[in-house]
Amino acid sequence: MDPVGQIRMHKDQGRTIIACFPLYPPLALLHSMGLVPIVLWGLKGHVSRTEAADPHLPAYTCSVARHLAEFLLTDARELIDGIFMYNACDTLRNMPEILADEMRSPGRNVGFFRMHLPMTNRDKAGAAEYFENEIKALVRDLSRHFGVRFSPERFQASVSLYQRMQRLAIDAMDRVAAGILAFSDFERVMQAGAFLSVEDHIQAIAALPAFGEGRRVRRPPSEDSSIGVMISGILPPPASMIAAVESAGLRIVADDVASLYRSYAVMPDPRPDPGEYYRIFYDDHYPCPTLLYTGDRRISAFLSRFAQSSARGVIFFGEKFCEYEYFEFPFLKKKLAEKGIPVLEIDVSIDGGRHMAAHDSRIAAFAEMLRQ
Amino acid sequence: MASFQKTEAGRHLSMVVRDAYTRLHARAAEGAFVVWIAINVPAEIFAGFDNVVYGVPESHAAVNAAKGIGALQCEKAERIGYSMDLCSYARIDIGCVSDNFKDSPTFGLPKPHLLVSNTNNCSLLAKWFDVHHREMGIPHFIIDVPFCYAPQKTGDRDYIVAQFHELIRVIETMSGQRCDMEKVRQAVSLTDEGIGWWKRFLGFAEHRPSGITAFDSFVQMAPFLIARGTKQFVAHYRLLAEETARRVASGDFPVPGEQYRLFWDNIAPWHQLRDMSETLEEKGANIVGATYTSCIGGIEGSFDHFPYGGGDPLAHLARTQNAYVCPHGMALRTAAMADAVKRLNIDGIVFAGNRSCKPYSITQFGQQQKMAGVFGASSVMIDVDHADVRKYSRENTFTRLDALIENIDMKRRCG
Ligand code: SF4
Ligand code: SF4
Repeated sequence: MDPVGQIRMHKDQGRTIIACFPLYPPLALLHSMGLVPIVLWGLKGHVSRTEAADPHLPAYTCSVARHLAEFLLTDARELIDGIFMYNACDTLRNMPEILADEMRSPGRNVGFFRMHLPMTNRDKAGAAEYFENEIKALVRDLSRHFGVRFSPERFQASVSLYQRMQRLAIDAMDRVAAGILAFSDFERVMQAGAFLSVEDHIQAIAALPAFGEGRRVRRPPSEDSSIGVMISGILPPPASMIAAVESAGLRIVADDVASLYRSYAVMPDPRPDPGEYYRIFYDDHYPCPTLLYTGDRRISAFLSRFAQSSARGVIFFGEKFCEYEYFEFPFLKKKLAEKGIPVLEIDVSIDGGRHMAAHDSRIAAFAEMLRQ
Repeated sequence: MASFQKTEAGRHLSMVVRDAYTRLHARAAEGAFVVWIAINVPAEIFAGFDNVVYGVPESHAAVNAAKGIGALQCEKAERIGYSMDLCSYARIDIGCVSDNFKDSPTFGLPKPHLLVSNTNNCSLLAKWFDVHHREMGIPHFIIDVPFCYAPQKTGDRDYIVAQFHELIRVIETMSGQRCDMEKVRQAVSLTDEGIGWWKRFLGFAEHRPSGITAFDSFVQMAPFLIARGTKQFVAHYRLLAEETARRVASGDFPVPGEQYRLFWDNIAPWHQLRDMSETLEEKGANIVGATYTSCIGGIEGSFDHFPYGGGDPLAHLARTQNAYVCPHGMALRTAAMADAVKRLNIDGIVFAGNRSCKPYSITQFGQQQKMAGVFGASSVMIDVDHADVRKYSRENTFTRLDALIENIDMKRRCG
């Protein structure tokens, strides 16, 4: 996947690019207003150095933020028309100001758009109304800046497209679980989707090997001797770690990864009012440590995802310096231990995947333990 | 050097802290409804109830760090799986709870009935309080404060007020007590009065040589965390301001040979207060002010006192929720800092990059550039962890502080 080439292609078609900070931006809304939303994660394979970002960010900033800063300050600098972010985390909420001055250049007017997603317990007075106003303000700001208009019909059509992508993604992951699609192929297409238009993403998923319209998923082949594991983290592990998992005789059969399953697991049916739609979208969102109000559902959702899979163990790929994830690991591990489910925790740092020796042996030892 | 406990206000401070913890434990033992709160949850709300007391895990963590047992408590949390990359306040607190506050200098905190975190300083507080929520099975109420890049919006304020009302309803339901809004109003007035004295105290930094050090102000923050909205709070800060005025009038200065006036950006390095203040004094340097202590009682983008006009107390509390450096953006941070640097005649700024507090630290490079570019301020970036001494290097810190002093000298020589 070449994010820059992909963005250039959109630009060549005269499209307007809005770069969204992770984690769960309102993509269908942006799409319905004629913009091409891309999500700035999964850049690990693309951004190899962070020389432009480093003078602006402390070394203890997570790789997601450092990579997206590097990308915006270098390759994507002249290609992006707007930036969208919401209060996904404490790091990201500070990023627009860190980048704004640097991104300013003569003749360019990169719009910064924000929305505040209420993080309170959801039954709290005022949160729903407050959020619907935030969506209204976002629509207004986008309209003003880009000269575009909101249409309830187009919005519903966009939601339907994203739902189609979601269903295909779920179907594809089922095929991964069934052993008829390699996780690495699935993951590659899903990560690439962050930079594709949703229409192209749908085509890319449908074109996956062993993926044909209407074909039903079979249960895991009994002759398969590999052992299923579930992975969890903000991002899927780097390719070298996936390879290490597979060569240790393990197979990823389920994921609880923010840029994968957590992103697409739940999508409500279309509604004409974007305020109402996104209120439901975020309220019902698959739990994530960054969606603070989902805390009470998080553990049970995680455990039931595990229970519904054929996984026999869990590997946490912790994004180095992402405290949201780190606060949860011990409790999740404890709950898994109570059920006798083995767990491996691996820290993935900014150069994660390059220094594999230590990880390889831990993964091999974990596989050995699962086999016994 | 920082006066710590030598002054009358220092002795009074010890008493206020001792009283606050003693009262907290005693009332909890007598059946009071106990709330654990994040540092910036407006404690004045609890004054509206007859029998609600609150403990502040962050403040308790700071006490542990200042007493030199921060690392010990952090290690307990690390042993049960909490990453060393997590905020050291959180690790200290989780470590303390893990063995029921065994080594706590304050006999810990009484078991809570309700946890109240917020997202304004950082949303990690909600994650941290969720640890207790899950482990102890205690309800957790999150107050969501929208981050601001420009002055707080009315809609945001109304949203915060609605949550305060909701919090009151939750406590009323859980505790069976009624909230008397008149008492909340009185508590807000008392806090406001005390803050007036606090700002007077901080104002003595304008004197040359400065009447205070930032280290004094760090130590003297404690009542703000544990005794807001009380008469004792007012009495303490009045005593502090008046005593400081007398000392200044009589020519008694903490760094009499003050040659370099510095400004501190970040949380106090609790484990280094004495060493840092004494070593700087030997160099003729005084950190006379800090964003950490100056932001108290203001609003986002200004360290000036934002007075309570006597209206809806909850609206006032909501209006001041973005005051503390972390809940607002770099432009506002820079505006407030620039004003302080000018007012206090600052020679150099110490940006204390703090890997335990990313929300405070993440904009510091940008802010450092802005302060240098726009205001020509000398500055240095040092690495400090506010509560985990294991992540602090004295040698590196003073090498950089020396470089800052040399830079100031060089600028002076060049006119
Ligand atoms: S990895 Fe964690 S800290 Fe980094 S941007 Fe994502 S949520 Fe924020
Ligand atoms: S990360 Fe910073 S703001 Fe958050 S609890 Fe720790 S010290 Fe406080």
